[in-house]
Amino acid sequence: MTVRPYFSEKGFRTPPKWGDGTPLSLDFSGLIERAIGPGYSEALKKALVSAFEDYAPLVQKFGDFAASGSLTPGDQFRKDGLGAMPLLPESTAKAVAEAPCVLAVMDETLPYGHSVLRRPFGETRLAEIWLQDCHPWPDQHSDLPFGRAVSGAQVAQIEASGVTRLDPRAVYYKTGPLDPLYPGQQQRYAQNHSHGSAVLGLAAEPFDGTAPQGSAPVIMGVNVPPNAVRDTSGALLPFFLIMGMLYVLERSRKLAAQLAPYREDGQAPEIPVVFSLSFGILAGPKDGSHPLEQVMDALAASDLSGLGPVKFVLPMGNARRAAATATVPSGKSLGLRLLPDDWTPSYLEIWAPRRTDKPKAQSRISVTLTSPSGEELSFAGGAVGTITSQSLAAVGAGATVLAHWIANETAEGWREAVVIEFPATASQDLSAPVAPAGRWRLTLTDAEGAELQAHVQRDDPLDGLSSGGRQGRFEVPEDGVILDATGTVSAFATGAGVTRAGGVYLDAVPEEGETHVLAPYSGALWDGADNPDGDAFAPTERSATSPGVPVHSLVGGRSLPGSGTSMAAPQIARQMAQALIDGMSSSG
Amino acid sequence: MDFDSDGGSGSSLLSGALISTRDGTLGAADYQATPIDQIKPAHIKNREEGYKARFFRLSGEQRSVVAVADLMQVFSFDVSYVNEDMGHSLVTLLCECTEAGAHQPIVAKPLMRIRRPSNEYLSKAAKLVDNYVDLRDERNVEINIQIEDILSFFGMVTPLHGTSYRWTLELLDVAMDVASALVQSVKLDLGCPRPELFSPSLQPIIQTPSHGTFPSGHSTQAFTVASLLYCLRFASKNPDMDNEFCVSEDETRLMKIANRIAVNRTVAGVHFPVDSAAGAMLGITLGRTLYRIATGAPDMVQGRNFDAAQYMLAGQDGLSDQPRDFNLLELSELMKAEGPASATPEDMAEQIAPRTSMILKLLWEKADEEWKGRWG
Repeated sequence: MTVRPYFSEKGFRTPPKWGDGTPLSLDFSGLIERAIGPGYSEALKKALVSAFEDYAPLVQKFGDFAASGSLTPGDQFRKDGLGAMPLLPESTAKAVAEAPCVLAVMDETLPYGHSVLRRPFGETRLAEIWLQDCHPWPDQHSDLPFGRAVSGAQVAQIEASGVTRLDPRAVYYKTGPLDPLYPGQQQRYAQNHSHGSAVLGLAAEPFDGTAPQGSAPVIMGVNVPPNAVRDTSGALLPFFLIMGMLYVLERSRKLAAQLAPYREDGQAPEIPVVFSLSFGILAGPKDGSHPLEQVMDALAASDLSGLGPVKFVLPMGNARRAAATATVPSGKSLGLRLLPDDWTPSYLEIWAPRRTDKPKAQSRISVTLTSPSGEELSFAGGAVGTITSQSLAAVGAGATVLAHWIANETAEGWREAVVIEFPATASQDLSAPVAPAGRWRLTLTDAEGAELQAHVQRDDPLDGLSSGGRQGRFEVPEDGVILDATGTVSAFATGAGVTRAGGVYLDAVPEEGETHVLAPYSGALWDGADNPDGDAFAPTERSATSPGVPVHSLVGGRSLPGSGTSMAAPQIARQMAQALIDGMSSSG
Repeated sequence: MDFDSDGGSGSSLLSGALISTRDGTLGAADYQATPIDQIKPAHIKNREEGYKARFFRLSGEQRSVVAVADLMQVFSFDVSYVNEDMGHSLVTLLCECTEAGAHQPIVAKPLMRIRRPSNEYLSKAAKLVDNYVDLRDERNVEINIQIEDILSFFGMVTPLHGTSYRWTLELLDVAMDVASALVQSVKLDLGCPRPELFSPSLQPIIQTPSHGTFPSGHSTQAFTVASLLYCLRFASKNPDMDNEFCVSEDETRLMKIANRIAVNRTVAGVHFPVDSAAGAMLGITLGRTLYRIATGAPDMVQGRNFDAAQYMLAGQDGLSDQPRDFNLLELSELMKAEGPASATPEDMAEQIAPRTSMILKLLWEKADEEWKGRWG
């Protein structure tokens, strides 16, 4: 049993809109079967079932998504798939047929019509992208429960018609996301740049301008809904990422079928798949037991019939200096700074160490909060799976702080946790009580005297996708509380089956015995981990005085600097995919 | 400036200095007359010769006033019936034309017909404006500069240095003034409310102008400039220009800048996409017409039609009752004059021959010289 926080009505950090009661049916069972194929492991099945049990109810209450018109109408949804379909344009299919590898990029506003994808084959090497919150193609059957897919063959056809000469964004205008009625994200594709444009560019080519020669990975894309990215609690994103992973695996099988006739042996190849996911959150169990991590680990460990190896590359995160992770001996205290004008709730997660015995009726964790004006709120002894609340009476009167009492089962035992949810410190609704901004004092206690881990959840969204959140932080720790690099890794990236990408300076002189100079924000694993700073490294800063590495804009070249470990993951993933191709070529 | 002195700015101080200088250099009774034959030219044979002799002795400011006044005599308006939206609904811009080979203006023919969108249409289109607000941060600087200056942006894709292209710039200034005068008249007749009146959420980032929203003045001017620059530099290579749009890269490059300027006004929150579409059609038509007026080029001008009520999504994703967005792809479709929004009406089917203007011709010849004598 895994019990996840079930967020209260205003718990999402999206603008606090909720569903209008519209029933949302997400029938994805067909996709799972088609993606993982026959003979999958019990561990994989368990991870997927567990994740969907956790996330499906959240997504069904995700009002913006339900009302967006993204769902495939029931009479058009084909659970059994659509059969054979051309994904790559023919010339690219021929070029990659002997040694294909899929590099799957999951992000937002991916520029799938960018000219960078036309190198080195002339026509695009995009196989397909799933635009998850675009409305479905009208009057067409779809094998996806929501959104629409755009294939490389379609993109190539549009590019061949010459319209991109008039407007380099013509592909987006013709395939949906610049459609005037595409909800939410419409003008994301009119902007100069996006997170996805930086990431896809680095996944496609090195930033030093050395274009790929001869061979290159096939690109697949998944555009997650912007509102899932806006939700800084990270509660919505895993569902869309897991759906995206299944989609990519399913389409990789279709790609194999498309390539078979162009191969010498005429057989469908077992295509390896490398995922690049430049997303991360600050708070979570950070022991590989997050449902998203469980799914990635299970997929990486599975030998999926008909497919090659499946790899995942994730960034270490940029939280090394964020003061968002603390190790707290029982009974000790530290400050938590909530920023003014924060329009979204702030979340604090407190995790007990792994124990072999099941959680008792009452949690062993207790938390005492002292508000900036000195009022004390105590949370103790909540039962796992319940929510308790305390309201402020003085400054911020009526504002309610919630505690979600949860527990995670892992292979090695149980971990108890409590998620504290602070209301926003500012609101458009003038009658809504808000939490006082400033320094809150936390005192954390474990009934058995164990050391606790405390995390402030991420509250600063991607550029251009702001929900009005502002990042809180720990400060003034009491003696004995550790507030350093330890455990500052992204809470999506602690699984055993993922490659963690750290960020380094391109141009810096390493200390003797070192191979690189780490970027100062690049996260770190817990003390005692094998590779505390990451499994692989890529430049994310040119130098201490020249920020970022050159990245692509949505339609143009590399005139922008891109910073952060999000930039490292696609570079590592690209090299991994290229190595898989080279391995196939050399072994014949 | 016309009232500046020979050596600097005019002022009462300078006038005082000139008074005392005269007093110190001229006796009180010392009046001298200049012989008449020293005032040249003594003999002007006809109006054209007079213009040639005098036009370029005027200050730039006065030349521009004269040129605009001259050109405005070429155009007139025919305004049709009034509807419930409180404005006239249909405006036709007329242009004085000659028959082939004739020199005298004989009749005013329709050059551009514009039907306004209904307020219901604009109410729906306000949502499109809202879709653009995310771009405000990154377009802020462009938007504010373009309130006063659009030529610098064309200067990115074609040489336009103030010294080397003095007459081209003067020609473009005249063209923009004519475009402004014409589009303001259309706006006044059609009386379309600005986006901010349809939604308090739009919160424009620059002052919403006092005049009507449709068509967009910035779009009209920007596309006039783009068309005229294309004619000036490249028309001789492309006699079939009026039947094409953005076929050549040279034209596309200029139109992309005009498009960007037009769309930026929507990002700012002061224009609907349909305003840009109407302004673009008007601007392109005007630019091509001014070219004929200046050069008397033998190929004819195609009159254009824009029916805002028909500028709707048709069959795109099964949606048919929503206003269209604006971009260069949409404009190139409009310029084909095939769909309901821009199909050429019967009375505009024949291409027309705008009459020439002697003054614009003088200015054009000077500007034309600048593109022949390129250095480097």
